[in-house]
Amino acid sequence: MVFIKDAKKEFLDQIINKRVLVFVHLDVDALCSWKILQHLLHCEHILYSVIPINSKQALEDAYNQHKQVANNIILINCGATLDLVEILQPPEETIFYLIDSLRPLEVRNVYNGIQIKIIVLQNELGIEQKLVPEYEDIFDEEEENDEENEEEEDGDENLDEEEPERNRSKRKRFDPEYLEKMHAKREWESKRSKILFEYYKYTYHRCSSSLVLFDLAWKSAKDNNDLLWWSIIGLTEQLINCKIDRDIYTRYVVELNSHVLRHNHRPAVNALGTSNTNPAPDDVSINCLKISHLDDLNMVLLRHWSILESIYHSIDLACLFKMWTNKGKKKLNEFLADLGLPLNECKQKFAYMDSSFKNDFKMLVASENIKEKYRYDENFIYLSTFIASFGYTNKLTAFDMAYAVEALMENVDGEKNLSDKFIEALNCLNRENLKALECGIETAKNHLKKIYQQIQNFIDMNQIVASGPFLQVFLEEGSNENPFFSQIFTSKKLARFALQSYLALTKGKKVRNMPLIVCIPLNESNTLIAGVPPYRATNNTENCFGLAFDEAAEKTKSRVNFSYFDTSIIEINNEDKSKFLDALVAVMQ
Amino acid sequence: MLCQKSFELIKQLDSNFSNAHELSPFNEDNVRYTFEECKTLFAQNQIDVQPVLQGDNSNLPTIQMRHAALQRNKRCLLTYVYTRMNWVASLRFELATVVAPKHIKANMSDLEVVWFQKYSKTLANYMKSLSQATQTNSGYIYPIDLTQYTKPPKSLFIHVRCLKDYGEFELSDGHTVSLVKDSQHYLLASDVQDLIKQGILEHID
Amino acid sequence: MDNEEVEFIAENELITIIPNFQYKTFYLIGGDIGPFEPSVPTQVPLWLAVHFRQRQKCRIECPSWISVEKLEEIMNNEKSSELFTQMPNAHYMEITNVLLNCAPQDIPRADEVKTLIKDIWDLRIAKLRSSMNEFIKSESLHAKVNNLTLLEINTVRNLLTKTLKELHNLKQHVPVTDE
Repeated sequence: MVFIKDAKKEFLDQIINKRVLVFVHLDVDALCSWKILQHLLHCEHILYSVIPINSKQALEDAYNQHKQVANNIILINCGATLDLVEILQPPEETIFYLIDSLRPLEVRNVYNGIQIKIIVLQNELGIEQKLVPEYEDIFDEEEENDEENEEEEDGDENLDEEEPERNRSKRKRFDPEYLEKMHAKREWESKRSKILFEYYKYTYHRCSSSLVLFDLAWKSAKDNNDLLWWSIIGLTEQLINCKIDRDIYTRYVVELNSHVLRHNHRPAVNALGTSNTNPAPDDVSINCLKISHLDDLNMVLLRHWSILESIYHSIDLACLFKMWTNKGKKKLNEFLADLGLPLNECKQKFAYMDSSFKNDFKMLVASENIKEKYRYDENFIYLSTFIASFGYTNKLTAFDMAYAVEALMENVDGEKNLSDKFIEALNCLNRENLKALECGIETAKNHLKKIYQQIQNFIDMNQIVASGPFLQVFLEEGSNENPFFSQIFTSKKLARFALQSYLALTKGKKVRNMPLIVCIPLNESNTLIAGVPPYRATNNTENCFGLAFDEAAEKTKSRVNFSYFDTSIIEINNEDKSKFLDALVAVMQ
Repeated sequence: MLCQKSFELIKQLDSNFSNAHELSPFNEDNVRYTFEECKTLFAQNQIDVQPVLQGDNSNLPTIQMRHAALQRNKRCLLTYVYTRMNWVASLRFELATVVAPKHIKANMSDLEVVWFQKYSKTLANYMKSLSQATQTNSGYIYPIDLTQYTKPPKSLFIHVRCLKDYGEFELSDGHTVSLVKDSQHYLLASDVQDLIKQGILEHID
Repeated sequence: MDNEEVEFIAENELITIIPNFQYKTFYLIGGDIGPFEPSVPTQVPLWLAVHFRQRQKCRIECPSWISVEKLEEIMNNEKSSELFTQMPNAHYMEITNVLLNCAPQDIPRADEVKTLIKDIWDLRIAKLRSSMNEFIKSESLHAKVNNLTLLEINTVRNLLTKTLKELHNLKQHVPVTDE
């Protein structure tokens, strides 16, 4: 298998003094990983060329344009699920290094020891190896050799006369050994297809690429606070986009906390990130990055918004209070009154609130009677995360940063091509660039507002319907926001938010475990369809739509384009849409 | 009015270099007119100076004024030519090319073009003589290019982004990079300084 | 001369680092550097120290004159004296700037150091400005100033030379009135 055992020796040391070509997928985790990798490449003076990509076609095109540049190619968060050797047709000396959190890995990639190397977390190496099916179960070398020999024999026999040939093949057909072999072969093939079906059934994510690269940096003694902060943001993005569960997230947070403590031994700051009145003399400059662990409230962008707006746009709280109904809004006001916060304070930006309210807010929300009355528990309202401070600006949580960077990447305002968005998002991660950060946060707010508005529309007009084994919702054609909603992560966010809000407002038992698909018209001829798994308290990250879409498309011979690396998002021709959806219903029963 | 054309030359210089930072076409007409004016003034003075030599000072102020005008014309002409010459010299350092781009060449007079070529040649000879002084025992000559850096370099490698399609570019170690629009690369600073000056690459922090 | 060129010259100053790698001596035109042993302090030029620090190959040992007490002392001296006092290093401003940008963690009480250096700089520039003023008014032909650093000279270089040149030109054309 091609999993690298010692990333430093087999990866970093191999590319020193060579040129590399790096393909970076456009998502926050990949961007953070790229920043970490860039630091490592700079340290070792490795020349590189970096290209951002969005889709499979972009990967192919970019590879063809740049392939003569380098023999060592690094792919971050893209390509591990594709049969690279088949699609890209690389020359023999090219070696691919894959760092990807998306699973399942393409089996041909895993068993191609010569040209492909996959980097995963050291202590998860065993688990990763077990997840992939055994070599003997999928590939049968003996079988392939036999087939070749048979073909050769047939070829020779053609030169002879026909009669002896027929006799010989007749003999073969009734040969008991031969029959047994065929029988075994058929059994093996059916077992193989079953194994492969089970393997490819669900798409899911494992450890974030930024964590993998931070681990590598740590083992090479090149880690510092900045790299740690980026890997925290990468991990946070995985939770925001429901790529991993809360439990797994908490486990990684604990691991990262040990690194945080190692790099930042400082006097403790209190809950909301405001420091004590008499801090111990701080030896280090104010411009240095300081990270600390924080149990923060589950309210999105709280420090950059008012409490009211933050609660409106946080998916969990919005569903708890059923914010789209008038009753829900009243309940929210009641909630705030119970906490003892005057309404006009809540409408002010959090940073400008009266400090007594600000400081008590966090404790009040967790008080027992409030929790009982509104029926939530500690895990719901608190999220374990990290907060960073540098310079004299406001402190930032990892969630704020992740939202800001993702908003900049998925921004459709202005004519920006992929490369511009890539550079803007990277600027935002570079903490000296405060303007980019502010711009990112404003954009994130706008995006959240748009999503909320769309969900409100869905609910008001009852557009979320159950059709067969899943829920579906269609967006109107010609709406201005369609280009925005058809971005990869936004479409999924919209779908998830729609699903959760629908479940909060309906009482049916059947719909509890249904997944949801959202259809967004792209232009006159194409529609984007994105699917999300059912909403469960735990283990809601496995997505079965990849395979389902594939089967439905094959059955109906629809013109479907699996353009993105995430197979649960497809582009389909409008004419084939209805028959595709019918077939999908049949497939998923 | 005397010296008006020469004053126009100076005004033209000022408007060019303070606003447009580009060379305007060489104003042959004004220069020729100024020459003619100088010749006329000198001829007139020659005639009028004869009586002064014989002691008649009545024309002295006129002669003095004409002489002053002559000197003013001369000064204006010299400034014009000198400033343009300096600008053409700095062109060599800014663009780092030996051949002047067409639109600038159209604005230079023939003499200026010849001067530019000679200047480039002198500079090249100078750089070559410096390089040969670096010849080590193994015979390796390190090429010295004075026009490479306008500011002291901060680091050995820089991260650049490609602004226009350029195609294949060969680095100093023999490898090629394909400079497609919007691609980003990390290369040796000395290799890419030329391209940054030409505006094909952009330095990114 | 640009300020960047002055900084470039200042980067040649020697500074002590503590490397975490091992390497043999390397021979440069300006001198030999090394050899490098882990945890053994070595003297290298500033540009090399910054280069290593950015690649996390060393830790920079703060020069002895970059400390809050020493700088306060210097500032008091500067305030009390009319003339320019001797600076601990001919390139104090450039070196502290470079170190604060690249390795603030290696400098204890970095913020206070930054403020002190800025104060000293402001003091000296103010003195320089007023002394230039006097010099021009007094119409003398030359002046001698001790203990100025290259960067400070560079700030006034262009203005002073051009001013004096213009004054000289103007003086030449003052009509000589012969009464």
